[in-house]
Amino acid sequence: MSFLSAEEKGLVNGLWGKVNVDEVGGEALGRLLVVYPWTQRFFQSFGDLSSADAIMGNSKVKAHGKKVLNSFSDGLKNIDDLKGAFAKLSELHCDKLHVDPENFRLLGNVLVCVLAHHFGHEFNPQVQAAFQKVVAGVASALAHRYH
Amino acid sequence: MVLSAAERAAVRALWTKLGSNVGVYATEALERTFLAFPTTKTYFPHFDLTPGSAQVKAHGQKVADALTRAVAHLDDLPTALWALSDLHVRQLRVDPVNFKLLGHCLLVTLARHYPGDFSPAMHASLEKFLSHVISSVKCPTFFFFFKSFYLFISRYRESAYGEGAERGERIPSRLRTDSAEPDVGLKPTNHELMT
Repeated sequence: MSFLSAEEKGLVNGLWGKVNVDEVGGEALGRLLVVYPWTQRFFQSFGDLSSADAIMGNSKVKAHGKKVLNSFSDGLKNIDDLKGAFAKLSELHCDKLHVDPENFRLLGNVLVCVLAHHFGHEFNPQVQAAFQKVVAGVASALAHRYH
Repeated sequence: MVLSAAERAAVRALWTKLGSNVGVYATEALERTFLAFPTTKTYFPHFDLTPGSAQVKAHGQKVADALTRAVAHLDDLPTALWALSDLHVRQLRVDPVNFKLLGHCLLVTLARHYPGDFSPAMHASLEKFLSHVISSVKCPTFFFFFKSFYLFISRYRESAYGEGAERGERIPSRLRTDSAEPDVGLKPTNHELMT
């Protein structure tokens, strides 16, 4: 059984095709650091994170956000095997980066808010429901190799 | 995380802008919650949950009224929302995780309808505000516990000491007229015996 129905895949891919992944990545990561300030603990080397404007304008935040969302985008191409697609990243986040998987869920929800912000009426409840499944699946896949 | 003065001002300003549409947005947030997080529907088996349902719309308006009340009482959310807390904790017994899901869908709804206002700072203020509301609703407040404790003690004193206990009177058992013991008259005190 597929993770998403054919209709849900259509909704997700239809919207994702219009997403500027680099820009949305930076915005999503920036908003995560602004809205949930404790997540800044993982980015102490990123320089000035002293205010919302500083965070959103920080070049390292933008660059890392771009990297994160490109990984997410690659994962979408393997939507029926997210655990396989994110296996190596899962090990990295557990063994080297020591990131609490709760942060993946937070970033997923921030990404959904950013998509709603960018796409307005197009981000209707059906599209949101499909994306909530995707972000939950990605968060779960990233936590899968934790031990 | 306490709301700063700037955050309170931002939330109040946005709420003023929402005006009489708060019910519309709360209803949309509920519809999004039911669709994106189907487990939340388990609390509404008696509702027609199809989009556009009059019952969902009415419930959305109730949620909106509660949030508007919260915005008007940012300085004392626990007291302002204690009746809601009592309802959700003791009577409805809603798992608190569901409030977060509705809160998230409300943020999505506002981001969609007010993109110009949904800056990162506003996003953070709203998230904090909703966290405080959820915290007040999911946990009975000290006020509620104090009230329950006071009522318990009042009833105990009434049963132990008689009706006058409410006025702080302590009626010695030998003078009580509602005693279950046989009426053998009042016993003399030591003073009466001595004199």
